[in-house]
Amino acid sequence: MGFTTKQVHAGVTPDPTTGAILTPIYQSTTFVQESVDQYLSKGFSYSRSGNPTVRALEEKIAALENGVDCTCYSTGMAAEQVVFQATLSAGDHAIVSDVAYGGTYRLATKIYARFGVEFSFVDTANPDAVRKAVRANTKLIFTETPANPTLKLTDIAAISKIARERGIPHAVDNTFLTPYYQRPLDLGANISVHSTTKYFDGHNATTGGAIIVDSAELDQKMRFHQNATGVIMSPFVAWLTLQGTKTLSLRVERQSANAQVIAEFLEQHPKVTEVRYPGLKSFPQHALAQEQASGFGAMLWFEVEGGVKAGKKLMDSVKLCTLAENLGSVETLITHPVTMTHAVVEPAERLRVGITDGLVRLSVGIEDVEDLVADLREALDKL
Amino acid sequence: MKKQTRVTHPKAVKLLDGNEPVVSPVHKTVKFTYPTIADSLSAEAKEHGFDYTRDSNPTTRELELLAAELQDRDDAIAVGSGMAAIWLALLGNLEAGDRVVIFIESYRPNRVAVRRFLPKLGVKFTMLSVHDLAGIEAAFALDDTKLVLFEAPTNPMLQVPDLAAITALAKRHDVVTVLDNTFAGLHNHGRYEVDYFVHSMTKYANGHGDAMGGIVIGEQKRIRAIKPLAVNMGAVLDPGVAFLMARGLKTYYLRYERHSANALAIAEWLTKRKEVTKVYYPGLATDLGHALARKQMTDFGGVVTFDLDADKDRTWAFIDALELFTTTASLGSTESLVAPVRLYLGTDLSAEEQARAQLKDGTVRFAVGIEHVDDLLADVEQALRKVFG
Repeated sequence: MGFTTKQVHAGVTPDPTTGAILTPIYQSTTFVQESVDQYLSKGFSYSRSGNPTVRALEEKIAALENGVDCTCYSTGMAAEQVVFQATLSAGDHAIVSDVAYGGTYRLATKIYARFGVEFSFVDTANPDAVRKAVRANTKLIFTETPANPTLKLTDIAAISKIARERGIPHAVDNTFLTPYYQRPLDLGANISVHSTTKYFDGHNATTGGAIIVDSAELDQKMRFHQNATGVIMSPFVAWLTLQGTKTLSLRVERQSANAQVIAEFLEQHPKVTEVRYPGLKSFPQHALAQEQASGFGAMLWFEVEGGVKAGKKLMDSVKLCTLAENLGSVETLITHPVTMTHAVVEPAERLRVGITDGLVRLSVGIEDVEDLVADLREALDKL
Repeated sequence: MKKQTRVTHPKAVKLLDGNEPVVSPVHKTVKFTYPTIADSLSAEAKEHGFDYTRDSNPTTRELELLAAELQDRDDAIAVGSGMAAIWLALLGNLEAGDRVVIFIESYRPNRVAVRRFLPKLGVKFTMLSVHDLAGIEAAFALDDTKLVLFEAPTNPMLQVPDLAAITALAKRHDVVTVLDNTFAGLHNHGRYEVDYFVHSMTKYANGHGDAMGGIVIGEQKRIRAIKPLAVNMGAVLDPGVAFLMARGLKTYYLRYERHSANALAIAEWLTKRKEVTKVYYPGLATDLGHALARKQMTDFGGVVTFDLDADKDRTWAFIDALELFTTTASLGSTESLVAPVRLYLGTDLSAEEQARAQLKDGTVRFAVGIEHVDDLLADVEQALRKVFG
């Protein structure tokens, strides 16, 4: 079955009682059991442990990622937290991409480090660096590709091979490309993590997260920790996300096509000193982008002449591009990572991995691309 | 303040000036207030203020203005369903003694409204074919003809009326034009001199099959003329539903484009099948309405109707054998749907009228979704094979 068919139908079956074609919002805390002996015979007991609406979304996302199963969470960070919790204990070591969402860096350095977990922030674009960083107590390799915000790519198959040789689970944050363009489990990873807030919802209306795994054993671990800590997705959010997911490929395709046009426009503009977009021939890992994904996504960054001051002026001048965190939604959003998404990362660390002060991140939406280019051109011309 | 009072008067969290949500909030409130009675009576309050959600609500208003702009008009009233919108346009423009022109090709509930219910209010009707321009002109010329209710393309047989001709005749004879534009969508037909566009937003506007709603769109003068009736009828669109509609509209163009591309591919495929005797889809080069549709529309939507070379039982067996197409009414949502036309959309017509409307036992309506077209074609093929061998 094609991806676009699965995104509409997977996980959704008409309600057996009424024939409703869509999954109802099961806004119920608890589920009645027929008898003590038949406890859980219908699959649900308490919504922290499982809820039919959330379950429908889990089945859909698992089908889209070609995973064995999926669990859904209240946010992307809640999902990531459960990946850490399910794989790491005091005394363990984890390898994390040196360029990653600021929240990942914070979770590792400010929280898990306190509980005796050691982290190495490694250039996962370089498989040799990962191989060298592996220790006897390494229990997790966590990569993000394309990385937020520099878009550096990690070769998922190469890192998965190293991880499998050592029996270490490899988790990939697949938020930027979505399963429509990139399926980490097909490339050998064990875990795919998402902020569903981004492309799955796509309408800037919910926050949520998902973990897709390649084995029932890993899924059980995730469920155990989710149930224990309570970081669940609500049935209403699951329903909105289910509905949003039905147009995932349409949105991502349009967003990516728009991003390509904008990246090429920016590359030609005299006020722009640098542009990075995996779909540009000038992108350092353009070949890898083509090899491991079927599209380039809708995230790009650029720097303008005049550094931080000019960058801030640009962001204040755009009208159609909205100055806001988040990404992946139908509206085009513009972000200054140094003051917004990556403010938590120490300045020296930011510079080391290429998050410069003048970097402007764009999450391209589904608007008419001529309107977007005109908005950026007008703002750039003011510099 | 005692806490027992506080629970009904919680401190409001006001956003700082300029600190705006990217997505508009759902204004789930019945009442709106002003600091003083005088403020509530000010000219500005009357023009832009809110009082009671049956009259207007900011979430719903935002949707109305957006839909109006997409349809190239400047005002609109959103209501709880497509049929509520049809009734608003009818009752808002008619009185006892008037005559309405309706068409045999129309959507069944539209026909039922005009043929069964309006006569109870003393409103007469003339039922014609949308292709009968001479008959339309003669009916418009009658002194008592006040309004014409039509569709483009028609549901379910996708007949394409000549919008320029019908609207010109209507202007000449001072007949109010109400176009149910649901099939063509909010982006089509705006340049024609239609007085009121009506949409079932349940279909392409919402697009996800998760909310019902309707809208009447027109120039502000015309919308204001029917607004008091709308407030009195009370068929309002709930703000929570307006939010879902607005959310659906964000992907409207992407979805309509994909619906149309899938439908055209399926229509073309069906024309090559020996089990199919006729395909009705204005996007087909061979369709009778194609030239007109190409002039009037940018794309042709997701509904494809066709005649199987089969009796009722085999037709129903074909529909039952489909797996990806769900048997149900409605259209314009992400999932593909299928309907037996005579059963679902023709029971108000006599056998002779059904024949004139081209409704046969073998007539099937597909509301094509946005799935992968290869999967949809494979499903149709396996169902045909199962029934026809």
